Amino acid sequence: MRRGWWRENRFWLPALPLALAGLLLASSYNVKEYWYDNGLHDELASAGPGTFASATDHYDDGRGPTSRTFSVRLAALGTTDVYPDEEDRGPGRPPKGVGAVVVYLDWEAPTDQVLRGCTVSVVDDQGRRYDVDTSTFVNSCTPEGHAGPQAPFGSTDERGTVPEGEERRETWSTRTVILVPLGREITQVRVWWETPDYVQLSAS
Amino acid sequence: MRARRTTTVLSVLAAVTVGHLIASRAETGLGDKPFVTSASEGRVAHLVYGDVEVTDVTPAKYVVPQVSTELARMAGGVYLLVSVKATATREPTTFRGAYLVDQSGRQYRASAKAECALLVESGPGIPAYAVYCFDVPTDRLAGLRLEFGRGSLTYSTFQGDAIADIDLGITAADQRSWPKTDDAYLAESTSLAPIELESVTLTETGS
Repeated sequence: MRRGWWRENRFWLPALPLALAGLLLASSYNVKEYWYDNGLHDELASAGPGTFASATDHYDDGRGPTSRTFSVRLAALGTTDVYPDEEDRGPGRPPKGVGAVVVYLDWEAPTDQVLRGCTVSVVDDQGRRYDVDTSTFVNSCTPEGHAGPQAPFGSTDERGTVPEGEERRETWSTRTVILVPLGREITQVRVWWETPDYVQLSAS
Repeated sequence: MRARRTTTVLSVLAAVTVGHLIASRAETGLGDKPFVTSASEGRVAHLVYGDVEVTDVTPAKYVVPQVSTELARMAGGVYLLVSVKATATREPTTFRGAYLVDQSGRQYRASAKAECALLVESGPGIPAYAVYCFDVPTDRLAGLRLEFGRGSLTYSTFQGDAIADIDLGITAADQRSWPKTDDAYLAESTSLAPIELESVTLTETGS
Protein backbone atom coordinates (compact mmCIF):
# COMPACT_ATOMS: atom_id res chain seq x y z
CA MET A 1 0.00 0.00 0.00
CA ARG A 2 1.31 3.40 -0.89
CA ARG A 3 2.40 5.53 2.04
CA GLY A 4 0.55 8.44 0.48
CA TRP A 5 -2.79 6.59 0.72
CA TRP A 6 -2.51 6.22 4.52
CA ARG A 7 -1.51 9.86 4.78
CA GLU A 8 -4.40 10.93 2.58
CA ASN A 9 -6.93 8.99 4.70
CA ARG A 10 -5.39 9.64 8.11
CA PHE A 11 -8.54 11.39 9.36
CA TRP A 12 -11.12 9.09 7.77
CA LEU A 13 -9.65 5.79 8.97
CA PRO A 14 -10.02 6.55 12.73
CA ALA A 15 -13.53 7.79 12.01
CA LEU A 16 -14.54 4.47 10.43
CA PRO A 17 -15.07 2.49 13.70
CA LEU A 18 -17.01 5.41 15.13
CA ALA A 19 -19.20 5.54 12.01
CA LEU A 20 -19.83 1.80 12.25
CA ALA A 21 -20.74 2.11 15.94
CA GLY A 22 -23.14 4.94 15.08
CA LEU A 23 -24.64 2.86 12.29
CA LEU A 24 -25.26 -0.10 14.61
CA LEU A 25 -26.73 2.18 17.28
CA ALA A 26 -29.06 3.87 14.80
CA SER A 27 -30.33 0.58 13.42
CA SER A 28 -30.83 -1.15 16.77
CA TYR A 29 -34.07 0.60 17.67
CA ASN A 30 -35.99 -2.65 17.13
CA VAL A 31 -33.98 -4.31 19.89
CA LYS A 32 -35.86 -2.22 22.44
CA GLU A 33 -39.31 -2.96 20.99
CA TYR A 34 -38.84 -6.65 20.21
CA TRP A 35 -36.54 -7.72 23.04
CA TYR A 36 -36.16 -5.23 25.90
CA ASP A 37 -39.80 -4.19 26.17
CA ASN A 38 -40.98 -7.73 25.57
CA GLY A 39 -39.44 -9.35 28.66
CA LEU A 40 -38.72 -8.64 32.31
CA HIS A 41 -35.59 -6.52 31.91
CA ASP A 42 -36.15 -3.44 34.09
CA GLU A 43 -35.83 -4.10 37.82
CA LEU A 44 -37.71 -1.34 39.63
CA ALA A 45 -36.72 -2.45 43.12
CA SER A 46 -35.43 -5.50 44.97
CA ALA A 47 -35.27 -6.79 48.52
CA GLY A 48 -34.20 -9.82 50.50
CA PRO A 49 -36.50 -12.20 52.37
CA GLY A 50 -38.75 -10.45 54.87
CA THR A 51 -37.70 -6.98 53.71
CA PHE A 52 -40.03 -4.56 51.95
CA ALA A 53 -39.15 -3.39 48.42
CA SER A 54 -40.74 -0.05 47.53
CA ALA A 55 -41.38 0.86 43.90
CA THR A 56 -43.13 3.33 41.65
CA ASP A 57 -44.19 1.73 38.39
CA HIS A 58 -44.86 4.17 35.55
CA TYR A 59 -47.36 2.97 32.95
CA ASP A 60 -50.16 4.13 30.61
CA ASP A 61 -53.83 3.56 31.31
CA GLY A 62 -56.84 4.57 29.20
CA ARG A 63 -56.34 8.23 30.08
CA GLY A 64 -52.58 8.43 29.54
CA PRO A 65 -49.37 8.22 31.58
CA THR A 66 -49.75 7.43 35.27
CA SER A 67 -48.03 5.40 37.98
CA ARG A 68 -48.60 3.09 40.92
CA THR A 69 -46.63 3.15 44.16
CA PHE A 70 -46.48 0.22 46.52
CA SER A 71 -44.29 -1.80 48.87
CA VAL A 72 -44.14 -5.57 48.92
CA ARG A 73 -42.17 -8.19 50.81
CA LEU A 74 -41.80 -11.94 50.55
CA ALA A 75 -43.17 -13.29 53.82
CA ALA A 76 -42.68 -16.98 53.00
CA LEU A 77 -42.59 -19.66 50.34
CA GLY A 78 -44.41 -22.94 50.84
CA THR A 79 -45.89 -25.87 49.00
CA THR A 80 -49.37 -27.32 48.74
CA ASP A 81 -51.01 -30.43 47.36
CA VAL A 82 -54.08 -28.48 46.35
CA TYR A 83 -54.12 -26.51 43.14
CA PRO A 84 -57.17 -24.52 42.04
CA ASP A 85 -58.42 -26.10 38.84
CA GLU A 86 -60.01 -23.51 36.60
CA GLU A 87 -62.02 -26.00 34.55
CA ASP A 88 -63.46 -27.86 37.51
CA ARG A 89 -63.88 -24.64 39.54
CA GLY A 90 -62.51 -26.48 42.51
CA PRO A 91 -59.28 -27.63 44.11
CA GLY A 92 -57.40 -30.53 42.61
CA ARG A 93 -53.94 -32.03 42.66
CA PRO A 94 -51.18 -30.62 40.44
CA PRO A 95 -50.38 -32.67 37.31
CA LYS A 96 -47.98 -35.62 37.59
CA GLY A 97 -44.36 -34.51 38.08
CA VAL A 98 -45.41 -30.97 38.94
CA GLY A 99 -45.61 -29.31 42.37
CA ALA A 100 -47.51 -26.26 43.59
CA VAL A 101 -45.47 -23.47 45.20
CA VAL A 102 -47.28 -21.04 47.50
CA VAL A 103 -46.01 -17.44 47.55
CA TYR A 104 -47.00 -15.43 50.64
CA LEU A 105 -46.60 -11.67 50.13
CA ASP A 106 -47.21 -8.71 52.46
CA TRP A 107 -48.27 -5.44 50.85
CA GLU A 108 -48.45 -1.72 51.71
CA ALA A 109 -49.96 0.89 49.40
CA PRO A 110 -52.26 3.92 49.54
CA THR A 111 -55.85 2.92 48.90
CA ASP A 112 -56.03 4.90 45.62
CA GLN A 113 -53.31 2.91 43.85
CA VAL A 114 -54.43 0.62 41.00
CA LEU A 115 -52.97 -2.82 41.75
CA ARG A 116 -55.36 -5.08 39.85
CA GLY A 117 -54.17 -7.47 37.19
CA CYS A 118 -50.62 -8.16 38.33
CA THR A 119 -48.61 -11.32 37.74
CA VAL A 120 -46.59 -13.11 40.39
CA SER A 121 -43.73 -15.25 39.08
CA VAL A 122 -41.07 -17.41 40.65
CA VAL A 123 -37.61 -18.00 39.19
CA ASP A 124 -35.49 -21.08 39.81
CA ASP A 125 -31.72 -21.36 40.26
CA GLN A 126 -31.31 -21.93 36.50
CA GLY A 127 -33.14 -18.69 35.64
CA ARG A 128 -36.34 -20.39 34.47
CA ARG A 129 -39.47 -18.36 35.18
CA TYR A 130 -42.84 -19.74 36.20
CA ASP A 131 -45.92 -17.48 36.13
CA VAL A 132 -49.13 -17.70 38.06
CA ASP A 133 -52.05 -18.81 35.92
CA THR A 134 -53.71 -15.43 35.50
CA SER A 135 -56.97 -17.00 34.37
CA THR A 136 -57.25 -18.68 37.78
CA PHE A 137 -55.66 -15.91 39.89
CA VAL A 138 -57.01 -12.73 38.27
CA ASN A 139 -55.85 -10.38 41.02
CA SER A 140 -52.84 -12.00 42.67
CA CYS A 141 -51.67 -8.81 44.38
CA THR A 142 -54.83 -7.63 46.10
CA PRO A 143 -57.06 -9.04 48.86
CA GLU A 144 -59.81 -11.32 47.57
CA GLY A 145 -62.96 -9.30 46.86
CA HIS A 146 -61.20 -6.02 47.78
CA ALA A 147 -59.05 -5.23 44.75
CA GLY A 148 -59.48 -1.45 45.12
CA PRO A 149 -59.66 1.06 42.27
CA GLN A 150 -60.04 0.02 38.63
CA ALA A 151 -57.90 1.39 35.81
CA PRO A 152 -59.89 3.55 33.37
CA PHE A 153 -60.46 1.79 30.03
CA GLY A 154 -60.92 4.93 27.92
CA SER A 155 -60.14 8.62 28.00
CA THR A 156 -63.65 9.44 29.22
CA ASP A 157 -63.49 7.09 32.21
CA GLU A 158 -62.66 8.43 35.66
CA ARG A 159 -59.52 7.36 37.49
CA GLY A 160 -59.83 5.92 40.96
CA THR A 161 -63.27 4.34 40.56
CA VAL A 162 -63.79 1.62 43.18
CA PRO A 163 -66.67 -0.81 42.69
CA GLU A 164 -68.99 -0.82 45.70
CA GLY A 165 -67.66 -3.02 48.49
CA GLU A 166 -64.26 -3.58 46.84
CA GLU A 167 -62.36 -0.92 48.81
CA ARG A 168 -58.85 -1.99 49.77
CA ARG A 169 -57.00 -1.48 53.04
CA GLU A 170 -53.52 0.12 53.23
CA THR A 171 -51.87 -3.12 54.33
CA TRP A 172 -52.78 -6.67 53.41
CA SER A 173 -51.35 -10.08 52.58
CA THR A 174 -51.78 -12.35 49.56
CA ARG A 175 -51.32 -16.06 48.87
CA THR A 176 -50.61 -17.19 45.31
CA VAL A 177 -50.15 -20.74 44.03
CA ILE A 178 -47.81 -21.36 41.08
CA LEU A 179 -47.13 -24.66 39.32
CA VAL A 180 -43.43 -25.64 39.21
CA PRO A 181 -41.92 -28.96 38.11
CA LEU A 182 -40.81 -31.08 41.08
CA GLY A 183 -37.17 -30.72 42.16
CA ARG A 184 -36.67 -27.10 41.08
CA GLU A 185 -35.12 -24.69 43.60
CA ILE A 186 -36.88 -21.34 43.76
CA THR A 187 -34.51 -18.41 44.29
CA GLN A 188 -36.58 -15.34 43.37
CA VAL A 189 -40.11 -14.02 43.32
CA ARG A 190 -41.07 -11.36 40.79
CA VAL A 191 -44.11 -9.10 40.85
CA TRP A 192 -45.06 -7.30 37.64
CA TRP A 193 -47.87 -5.76 35.63
CA GLU A 194 -46.45 -5.01 32.22
CA THR A 195 -43.04 -5.89 30.81
CA PRO A 196 -40.25 -4.79 31.09
CA ASP A 197 -40.76 -3.53 34.69
CA TYR A 198 -40.73 -5.81 37.73
CA VAL A 199 -39.97 -5.93 41.44
CA GLN A 200 -37.66 -8.70 42.57
CA LEU A 201 -37.78 -10.39 45.96
CA SER A 202 -35.02 -12.83 46.85
CA ALA A 203 -36.07 -16.09 48.40
CA SER A 204 -32.74 -16.78 50.08
CA MET B 1 -10.67 12.24 -10.82
CA ARG B 2 -14.19 12.33 -12.27
CA ALA B 3 -14.31 8.52 -12.52
CA ARG B 4 -13.24 8.23 -8.89
CA ARG B 5 -15.94 10.65 -7.75
CA THR B 6 -18.58 8.78 -9.74
CA THR B 7 -17.49 5.49 -8.16
CA THR B 8 -17.74 7.03 -4.70
CA VAL B 9 -21.23 8.41 -5.35
CA LEU B 10 -22.42 5.09 -6.78
CA SER B 11 -20.95 3.20 -3.81
CA VAL B 12 -22.77 5.43 -1.34
CA LEU B 13 -26.05 5.07 -3.26
CA ALA B 14 -25.67 1.27 -3.38
CA ALA B 15 -24.94 1.13 0.37
CA VAL B 16 -28.00 3.27 1.17
CA THR B 17 -30.22 1.12 -1.10
CA VAL B 18 -29.03 -2.16 0.43
CA GLY B 19 -29.42 -0.72 3.94
CA HIS B 20 -32.96 0.41 3.16
CA LEU B 21 -33.91 -3.02 1.79
CA ILE B 22 -32.52 -4.77 4.87
CA ALA B 23 -34.19 -2.33 7.27
CA SER B 24 -37.60 -2.52 5.55
CA ARG B 25 -37.53 -6.33 5.60
CA ALA B 26 -36.39 -6.46 9.22
CA GLU B 27 -39.19 -4.07 10.19
CA THR B 28 -41.88 -6.75 9.98
CA GLY B 29 -39.92 -9.92 9.36
CA LEU B 30 -42.89 -11.13 7.35
CA GLY B 31 -40.75 -12.59 4.60
CA ASP B 32 -38.31 -14.37 6.88
CA LYS B 33 -38.38 -18.14 6.62
CA PRO B 34 -38.66 -19.99 9.92
CA PHE B 35 -36.02 -22.36 11.29
CA VAL B 36 -37.61 -25.77 10.83
CA THR B 37 -37.19 -28.85 13.01
CA SER B 38 -38.77 -31.87 11.35
CA ALA B 39 -40.51 -34.65 13.25
CA SER B 40 -43.32 -37.14 12.85
CA GLU B 41 -46.32 -38.20 14.92
CA GLY B 42 -45.16 -39.63 18.25
CA ARG B 43 -41.70 -38.07 18.03
CA VAL B 44 -40.67 -34.94 19.93
CA ALA B 45 -39.43 -31.90 18.03
CA HIS B 46 -36.94 -30.00 20.23
CA LEU B 47 -37.12 -26.26 19.55
CA VAL B 48 -34.96 -23.60 21.22
CA TYR B 49 -37.91 -22.51 23.35
CA GLY B 50 -39.87 -25.73 23.82
CA ASP B 51 -40.62 -29.32 22.94
CA VAL B 52 -43.54 -30.23 20.68
CA GLU B 53 -45.11 -33.61 20.00
CA VAL B 54 -48.18 -34.70 18.04
CA THR B 55 -49.62 -37.54 20.11
CA ASP B 56 -52.69 -38.43 18.04
CA VAL B 57 -54.55 -37.64 14.82
CA THR B 58 -58.21 -38.64 14.63
CA PRO B 59 -60.67 -38.02 11.76
CA ALA B 60 -64.24 -37.03 12.53
CA LYS B 61 -67.34 -35.79 10.75
CA TYR B 62 -68.73 -33.93 13.74
CA VAL B 63 -67.31 -32.00 16.66
CA VAL B 64 -69.74 -31.49 19.52
CA PRO B 65 -69.51 -28.37 21.73
CA GLN B 66 -69.03 -28.84 25.47
CA VAL B 67 -72.32 -27.05 26.06
CA SER B 68 -74.81 -29.85 25.52
CA THR B 69 -77.62 -27.60 24.27
CA GLU B 70 -75.61 -26.47 21.24
CA LEU B 71 -75.76 -28.28 17.88
CA ALA B 72 -72.90 -30.42 16.65
CA ARG B 73 -70.56 -28.84 14.10
CA MET B 74 -70.34 -30.76 10.81
CA ALA B 75 -67.14 -30.65 8.77
CA GLY B 76 -67.17 -29.17 5.27
CA GLY B 77 -64.52 -31.74 4.38
CA VAL B 78 -63.33 -33.90 7.24
CA TYR B 79 -62.31 -32.80 10.71
CA LEU B 80 -58.81 -33.76 11.80
CA LEU B 81 -58.49 -33.70 15.57
CA VAL B 82 -54.77 -33.19 16.17
CA SER B 83 -53.61 -33.77 19.76
CA VAL B 84 -50.47 -31.85 20.68
CA LYS B 85 -48.22 -31.88 23.75
CA ALA B 86 -46.21 -28.65 24.12
CA THR B 87 -43.64 -28.01 26.85
CA ALA B 88 -41.81 -24.69 27.23
CA THR B 89 -38.18 -24.87 28.32
CA ARG B 90 -37.06 -21.41 29.56
CA GLU B 91 -40.04 -19.21 30.31
CA PRO B 92 -43.83 -19.26 30.08
CA THR B 93 -44.56 -19.58 26.38
CA THR B 94 -47.67 -19.19 24.28
CA PHE B 95 -47.75 -21.37 21.18
CA ARG B 96 -49.95 -19.28 18.87
CA GLY B 97 -49.05 -20.79 15.51
CA ALA B 98 -50.65 -24.09 14.47
CA TYR B 99 -51.33 -24.71 10.79
CA LEU B 100 -51.78 -27.79 8.63
CA VAL B 101 -49.94 -27.70 5.33
CA ASP B 102 -50.84 -29.99 2.44
CA GLN B 103 -48.57 -31.37 -0.26
CA SER B 104 -49.30 -28.36 -2.48
CA GLY B 105 -48.23 -25.96 0.27
CA ARG B 106 -51.78 -24.82 1.11
CA GLN B 107 -52.16 -23.74 4.73
CA TYR B 108 -55.20 -24.60 6.89
CA ARG B 109 -56.03 -22.84 10.16
CA ALA B 110 -57.81 -24.53 13.04
CA SER B 111 -61.57 -24.35 12.64
CA ALA B 112 -63.05 -21.56 14.74
CA LYS B 113 -66.56 -23.01 14.69
CA ALA B 114 -65.35 -26.32 16.15
CA GLU B 115 -64.46 -24.54 19.41
CA CYS B 116 -61.31 -26.59 19.96
CA ALA B 117 -57.89 -25.14 20.84
CA LEU B 118 -56.58 -22.13 18.93
CA LEU B 119 -53.45 -21.69 21.05
CA VAL B 120 -51.82 -23.31 24.06
CA GLU B 121 -49.75 -21.92 26.95
CA SER B 122 -47.05 -23.81 28.82
CA GLY B 123 -44.74 -23.08 31.74
CA PRO B 124 -41.14 -24.35 31.66
CA GLY B 125 -41.12 -28.11 32.20
CA ILE B 126 -44.90 -28.20 32.57
CA PRO B 127 -46.49 -30.00 29.61
CA ALA B 128 -49.65 -28.50 28.19
CA TYR B 129 -52.01 -30.57 26.10
CA ALA B 130 -54.22 -29.26 23.30
CA VAL B 131 -56.57 -30.63 20.66
CA TYR B 132 -56.76 -28.63 17.42
CA CYS B 133 -59.66 -29.29 15.05
CA PHE B 134 -58.92 -28.63 11.38
CA ASP B 135 -61.59 -28.82 8.67
CA VAL B 136 -59.67 -30.11 5.64
CA PRO B 137 -60.88 -30.88 2.07
CA THR B 138 -61.25 -34.64 1.64
CA ASP B 139 -58.79 -34.82 -1.24
CA ARG B 140 -56.00 -33.03 0.66
CA LEU B 141 -55.44 -35.39 3.59
CA ALA B 142 -52.50 -37.52 2.47
CA GLY B 143 -49.13 -36.10 3.46
CA LEU B 144 -50.49 -33.34 5.68
CA ARG B 145 -47.97 -31.76 8.05
CA LEU B 146 -48.46 -29.66 11.17
CA GLU B 147 -46.44 -26.46 11.40
CA PHE B 148 -46.33 -25.47 15.05
CA GLY B 149 -44.55 -22.71 16.97
CA ARG B 150 -44.89 -19.43 18.86
CA GLY B 151 -46.26 -17.65 15.82
CA SER B 152 -47.21 -14.02 15.63
CA LEU B 153 -49.88 -12.19 17.56
CA THR B 154 -50.65 -10.04 14.52
CA TYR B 155 -49.76 -12.03 11.41
CA SER B 156 -50.41 -15.62 10.31
CA THR B 157 -46.71 -16.26 9.97
CA PHE B 158 -43.81 -17.55 12.02
CA GLN B 159 -41.57 -14.56 11.19
CA GLY B 160 -38.22 -16.31 11.10
CA ASP B 161 -38.80 -18.10 14.42
CA ALA B 162 -38.05 -21.75 15.19
CA ILE B 163 -40.96 -24.08 14.37
CA ALA B 164 -41.75 -27.78 14.37
CA ASP B 165 -42.76 -29.34 11.05
CA ILE B 166 -44.48 -32.58 11.96
CA ASP B 167 -45.55 -35.21 9.46
CA LEU B 168 -48.94 -36.54 10.54
CA GLY B 169 -48.36 -39.86 8.77
CA ILE B 170 -51.60 -39.73 6.78
CA THR B 171 -51.45 -42.17 3.86
CA ALA B 172 -53.30 -42.36 0.56
CA ALA B 173 -55.36 -45.23 2.06
CA ASP B 174 -56.33 -42.94 4.97
CA GLN B 175 -57.36 -40.30 2.45
CA ARG B 176 -59.75 -42.80 0.85
CA SER B 177 -61.26 -44.10 4.10
CA TRP B 178 -61.31 -41.12 6.48
CA PRO B 179 -63.88 -39.03 4.55
CA LYS B 180 -66.39 -41.85 5.04
CA THR B 181 -66.30 -41.51 8.82
CA ASP B 182 -69.46 -40.55 10.72
CA ASP B 183 -67.63 -40.24 14.05
CA ALA B 184 -68.45 -37.43 16.43
CA TYR B 185 -66.24 -36.27 19.30
CA LEU B 186 -66.64 -33.81 22.12
CA ALA B 187 -64.76 -30.57 21.44
CA GLU B 188 -61.63 -30.35 23.57
CA SER B 189 -59.34 -27.35 24.01
CA THR B 190 -56.35 -27.28 26.37
CA SER B 191 -55.47 -29.02 29.62
CA LEU B 192 -52.60 -29.67 32.01
CA ALA B 193 -53.44 -33.38 31.80
CA PRO B 194 -53.41 -35.59 28.67
CA ILE B 195 -56.71 -35.30 26.80
CA GLU B 196 -58.68 -38.44 25.93
CA LEU B 197 -61.10 -37.81 23.05
CA GLU B 198 -64.67 -38.59 24.05
CA SER B 199 -66.86 -40.22 21.41
CA VAL B 200 -70.37 -38.82 21.23
CA THR B 201 -73.56 -40.44 19.91
CA LEU B 202 -75.64 -37.81 18.15
CA THR B 203 -79.41 -37.57 18.43
CA GLU B 204 -81.60 -35.70 15.96
CA THR B 205 -83.43 -32.63 17.17
CA GLY B 206 -86.71 -31.22 15.85
CA SER B 207 -86.31 -28.06 13.80
